[in-house]
Amino acid sequence: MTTYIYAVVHAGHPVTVEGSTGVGAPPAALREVRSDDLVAVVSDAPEGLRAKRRDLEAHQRVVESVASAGTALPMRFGTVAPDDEAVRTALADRAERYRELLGTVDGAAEFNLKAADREEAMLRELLIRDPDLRELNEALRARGGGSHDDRLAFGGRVAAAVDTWRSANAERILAELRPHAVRTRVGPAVDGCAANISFLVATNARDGFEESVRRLRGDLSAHTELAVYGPLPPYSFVD
Amino acid sequence: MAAMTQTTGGRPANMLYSVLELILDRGLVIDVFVRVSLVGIELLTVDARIVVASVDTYLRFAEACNRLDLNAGSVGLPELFSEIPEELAEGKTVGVIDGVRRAITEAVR
Repeated sequence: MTTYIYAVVHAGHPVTVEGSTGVGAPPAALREVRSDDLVAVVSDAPEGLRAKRRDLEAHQRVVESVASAGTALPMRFGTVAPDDEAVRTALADRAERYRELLGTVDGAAEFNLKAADREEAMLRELLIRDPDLRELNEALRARGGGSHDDRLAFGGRVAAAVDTWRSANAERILAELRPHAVRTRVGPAVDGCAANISFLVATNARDGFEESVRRLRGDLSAHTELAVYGPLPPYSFVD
Repeated sequence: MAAMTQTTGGRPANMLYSVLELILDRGLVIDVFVRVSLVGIELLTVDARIVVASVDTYLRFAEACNRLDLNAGSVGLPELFSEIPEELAEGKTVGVIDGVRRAITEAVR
């Protein structure tokens, strides 16, 4: 029976896995695998585990629960070991690194920010700002949109302007929020968002972080929608 | 088990998908162990990633701009725009494509 791993914690972590379950149908019972001062929260790995909603939710639920109770290293979804003994060996072999990582994320949580454009308002501003772009737009409008090639060339210029605009937006967000974070990680654009940034925020800095988020949200509201998710397990700061 | 909380903004119902790339692409990896097959997830994550520099996007932007009537009043210029250089970097979108490709590769690795 293979072993599914959710998180690594210190032996002193107040985690109680008894009675809790994780991935699989029916959900597998959680247990602990200990090596010296490190503990892995694991369960049996179900046959044919896939990245389906049910198991993604189960993984996240377990990791969230462990991380909210104390310092934890969240595993990437879908990590499977041959058996518990292999987990124990891995903990022992990498103990130094895991202790160091636990120190890094101690007393802090991840907040993931995603910025989305309010497209129409953004494009309007870009046209107002750039007289050339605006004239081009008016000319194409007058010709019922212009030829395919005209629209493609114009659209390409708009896309470049959008890209520059998004970069400036991301810089602004970083400048405002980075001072509140222990670490920052800029992620790929997903789900159509213009900026995707994770912040590792210490518990005592959370109020200041959230206050700055509120201010930013107000300042940028005309053209940008900010969503901030957290506190989350520190996924972005342990890999 | 503690429910996931959300301090600011967003829609709780979509929370899992909003942070899906964190769960799939990040988190601790133990390199001697295998990861389960993510068949099915590849589509999910690739679909979720927008490619700015594509023909479709260019045409969409062009049409969206054409629909705008700039005389119909506008919202105030944010100070942000004062920081944007007038010259728009040529070839910048190619970099965006590369970036997205990298992201996709990382997501499905």
